[in-house]
Amino acid sequence: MIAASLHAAPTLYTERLTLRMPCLADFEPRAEFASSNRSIWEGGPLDRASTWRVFASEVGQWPLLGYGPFSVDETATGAYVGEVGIYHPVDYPEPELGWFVIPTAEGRGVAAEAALRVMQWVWQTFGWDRLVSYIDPGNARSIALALRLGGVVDQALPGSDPEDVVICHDLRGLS
Amino acid sequence: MIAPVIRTERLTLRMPQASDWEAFRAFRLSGRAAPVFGSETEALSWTLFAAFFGHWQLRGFGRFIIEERATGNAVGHVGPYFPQGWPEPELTWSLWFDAAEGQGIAHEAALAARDYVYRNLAWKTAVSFIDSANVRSIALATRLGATFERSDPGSVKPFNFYRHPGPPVTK
Repeated sequence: MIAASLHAAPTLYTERLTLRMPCLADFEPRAEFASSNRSIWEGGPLDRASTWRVFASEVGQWPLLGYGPFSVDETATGAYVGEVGIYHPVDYPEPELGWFVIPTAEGRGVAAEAALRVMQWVWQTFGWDRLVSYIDPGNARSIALALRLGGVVDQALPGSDPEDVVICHDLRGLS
Repeated sequence: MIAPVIRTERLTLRMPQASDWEAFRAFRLSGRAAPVFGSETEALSWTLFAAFFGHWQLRGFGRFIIEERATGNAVGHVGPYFPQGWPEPELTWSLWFDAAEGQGIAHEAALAARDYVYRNLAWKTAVSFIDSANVRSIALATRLGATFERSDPGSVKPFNFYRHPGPPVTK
């Protein structure tokens, strides 16, 4: 037996939120989202087995790459509200800042609050100058959020898909 | 978490590591897996590879990489696989290269992995889902004492349930 070097997410806090390592229970809200028409901007709808593959691969980024998505809970209630973090499959030109919020938690700024904390963590931990968001042009809600975070559209950068709106977040000096 | 390692006569079964990517990628893109899984892109290969790690993280167990001790080469994977949406936990095996075949490697690895799921994970039963065209895998299942149970239409394509002999009886 040898000790495993499984990198898991650290636990981070914001005013209202706790960001933590994803766990098995977080799969259900993801599967619900993926099977619904809300997922059309994210390559959906998908069946459970396909959703598992994607979810497990994203969670697998933590041991594999040392960064990945955080699951986000509302600290006061412990209720799961979604995930925010770094997505970096092999076909992405660079690490992406992404998010997913369950329907009942939308419109309260939780994704923005968590995303700012993730950007700060990335700058302080890895010293990366920037993160990008790859967003389908039809996903107006996500584009609005990326811009609200201070992101700037940069169509000179390649997307994860040729159609993507690429939004660049400058992390330098975030503290 | 303590990473389990299983040693057999010729093999070391261990958790996946980042350096296995090149060999796994070569396997998926070689067309060797195509008859069972269809043609594939590098992106899908990577998703499957990263999902090995996520499965270990989420379930606390997962598929082992088969390492040939004489060469140190990773030549396949074996072991328990249980994605959400699966009918029940599965005992899987796969050799990544033609050159690894015909030496009893998959048999040696699968026997050890089956013993592991019974002893360490306390499984009461084990099943392998095998494509009806995958003659080599069916032969191995049969050699392991598994028997055909039923066919399942599956969400993508049909597969067959091969039920393994149960756990060893402890006195």
